[in-house]
Amino acid sequence: MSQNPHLTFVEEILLLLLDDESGAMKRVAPNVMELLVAGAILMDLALRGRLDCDLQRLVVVDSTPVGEEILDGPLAEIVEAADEADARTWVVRLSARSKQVQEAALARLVERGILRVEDRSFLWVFGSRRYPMVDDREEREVKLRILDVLLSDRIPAPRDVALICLADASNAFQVILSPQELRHAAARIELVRGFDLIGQAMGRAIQKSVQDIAAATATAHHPFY
Amino acid sequence: MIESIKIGKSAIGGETVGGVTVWVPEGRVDASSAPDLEQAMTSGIAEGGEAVVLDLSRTRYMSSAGLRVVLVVARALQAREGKFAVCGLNDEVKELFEVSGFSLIVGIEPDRDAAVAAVAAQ
Repeated sequence: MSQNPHLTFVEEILLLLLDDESGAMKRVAPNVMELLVAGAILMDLALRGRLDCDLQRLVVVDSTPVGEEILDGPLAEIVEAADEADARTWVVRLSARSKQVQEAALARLVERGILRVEDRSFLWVFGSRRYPMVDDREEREVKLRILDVLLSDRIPAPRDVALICLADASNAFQVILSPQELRHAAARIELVRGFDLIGQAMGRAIQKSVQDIAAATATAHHPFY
Repeated sequence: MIESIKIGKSAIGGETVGGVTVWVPEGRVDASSAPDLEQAMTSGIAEGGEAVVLDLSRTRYMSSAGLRVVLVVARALQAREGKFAVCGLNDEVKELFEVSGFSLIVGIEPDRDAAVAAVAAQ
């Protein structure tokens, strides 16, 4: 059991993306999900005093492990890196760990009694794993924090800024807010997500990835002969 | 005047000018100095110093951790209906405030006199 009272950002965003009853994950494009998880890791490490960054570079300020498996592996990778890179570069590099990190985070949520595992099979061959909610207190708390930031003029806490960046990048607001609320909160989301430099870097990495895939798809549909 | 607090490569000085507490961090406001600056400023607010200026004229560099201090202080003051302004930003720090949108939530003044006057007038 973790000694940290907070869930990690990866765990919080997974809770937002899971359908409470079915336990199915809301559809997020794989390339976006990979970068989102990497951004969540970096924001967690920054708020736990391990990383710092500016507009040009991301640096390790304390290499002491935090005691969370899903954060300590990436921290060690950044510590061991020979070069100096900016936050966006690290979002891209750590995205390779996304699947492994998501699995570890889901396992921890099960271990904490927040989710349960449900294996389903189709034609006794194709299996799918779902994670229905057992205890929704954490998820409700996360949603309330988001609503509090978006539907008020209060200046958010740094943790809530990071959460807004992640929820925005994953389109989780579409699940939490009505279309009318979402329109009303659009300017507020735009403002708040700028407050976190790693969140900004993650947003740029996602935007670039989406554009690259769109360009590749367009080229595939209109090949040059 | 509150005695300056020497912290690593930075020094944080807090002084009161006409009922406004002015904090003057020196050097780098990054992950190594930000926790102490945050502690000093939030303690000052908790003790009733709810009109605050952060004078960055002696700050050469600010990182993401430094920005978070500004956010935490602005949040604490907003909750208490306090007053807050920042001044003396060099070009690099000013760019950081603009890129991150902090310039939209915190009043930025050219120098200490203007910042103290702005806070006193709020």
